[in-house]
Amino acid sequence: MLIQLNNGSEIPIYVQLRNQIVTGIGRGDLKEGERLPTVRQLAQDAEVNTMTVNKAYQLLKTEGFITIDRRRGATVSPVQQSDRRYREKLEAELELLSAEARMKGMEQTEFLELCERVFAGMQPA
Amino acid sequence: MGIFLFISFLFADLITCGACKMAIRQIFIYQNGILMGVHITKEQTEHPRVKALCEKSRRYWNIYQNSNLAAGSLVCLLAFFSMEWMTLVWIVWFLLYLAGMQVLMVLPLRRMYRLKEEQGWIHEKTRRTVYIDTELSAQAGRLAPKAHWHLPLLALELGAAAVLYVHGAAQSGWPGERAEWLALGSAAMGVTVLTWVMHLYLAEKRNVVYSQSSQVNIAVNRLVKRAWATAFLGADCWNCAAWLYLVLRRDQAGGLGQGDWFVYVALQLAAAVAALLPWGNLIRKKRELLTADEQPVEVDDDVYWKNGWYENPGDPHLLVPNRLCDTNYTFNMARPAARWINLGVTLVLVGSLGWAAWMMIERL
Repeated sequence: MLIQLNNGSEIPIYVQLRNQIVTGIGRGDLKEGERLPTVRQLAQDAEVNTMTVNKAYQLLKTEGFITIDRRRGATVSPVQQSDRRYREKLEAELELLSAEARMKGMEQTEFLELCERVFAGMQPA
Repeated sequence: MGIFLFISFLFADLITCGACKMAIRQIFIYQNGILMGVHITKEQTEHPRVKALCEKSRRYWNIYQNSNLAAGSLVCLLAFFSMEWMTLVWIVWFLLYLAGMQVLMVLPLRRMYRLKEEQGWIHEKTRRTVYIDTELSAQAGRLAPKAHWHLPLLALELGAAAVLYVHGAAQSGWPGERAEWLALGSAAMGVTVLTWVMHLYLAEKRNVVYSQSSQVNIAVNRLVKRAWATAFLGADCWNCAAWLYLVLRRDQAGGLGQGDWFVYVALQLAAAVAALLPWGNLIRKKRELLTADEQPVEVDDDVYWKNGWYENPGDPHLLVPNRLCDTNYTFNMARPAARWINLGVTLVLVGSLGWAAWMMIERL
């Protein structure tokens, strides 16, 4: 899977890394159990500090998307059932997105169609 | 002595001119979305001005390399008449050859970039994009033989030096020979240490993403890193063999004859060949892989190469893959250390060649 980082973006690099890995897992580009690069190698290839990559990996681990093992390194976790805390987070983010869409003049049906199309593209392996 | 000098210098000229011609010739072939060091699309390569510029630059490059190969070979013939004159003329020719080559490498890239600017083909958005292939990065440690294989060779060289010292010290002629053997042994071990360090550094260099396809990225990176590893290990093995041969012969015969020195030179030449041999295969196979790839990644960082060398203040790396010879590395001239190193190397090169020339003048 290709990760694309924009060094000129306002979004921090560790957030870009986290977002792209999560999207990759959601699309099935990164499969369950697949080994991710080591922190050192990913930092070298991304031309960033190891602490940046470490921060991204720790965030992914906390959110349950990856597992970090001392021998095997970081691997993609299996699909899990969402918990209450995640639902609350998702609802808050959707509220923001819905508000923005409304402010931009988007109708509910159009918004839901867009969500359905994007969600249909997510096929975690 | 004349024939010895002639063969050595002729061989050096053939390897230098041949390697330079072959390595830089690749920039005139469109691969991985790059032509003459500049990113353009396949359609843009058909533009009449692009084709004309590419053809003209390629022609000048071939003429320059062929004429210098001929000139360098003619200079070697002077070895049969005067060693001093041959060395002097060769030094002047070599310095002019290097300077001319720099100009011929830099000018086409500058002209191509200017053409790209005039035509409005620049993609600002992708300038600061970095690609990472997770599958490639996860395999990084398994792409090439490890650098630690140089250590047994270093141990052999040290062992031979110890044997030489122990046996030599018991002989009456040893004090007179010691300095010469120290120089030879230091050179042998120095080559081993240098190749080991460079192997370690290059084997751990960042992976380069060429394509949207992980298979292509893994294949090309494996090819490049394996070529570096094979070149360094091969050169080191022959270098080690040359040193061991000298020590064994000295131990057996009590001294070295002219035949032994020929064998030593032949083994060191074999080391040079071993260092260069993987490149032919690398250049050919890499070109095959990249020209066949239909999904190159889009990055337009040509603004950092517009002067003909790499200059990016935002890049912390001192060494980066060379756009003009992608089997090689070049300096990031925005780093102060790069400027100092280049200045230092230039001074050492010109200074040592100048000193050699001065010595020859004094002998005339």
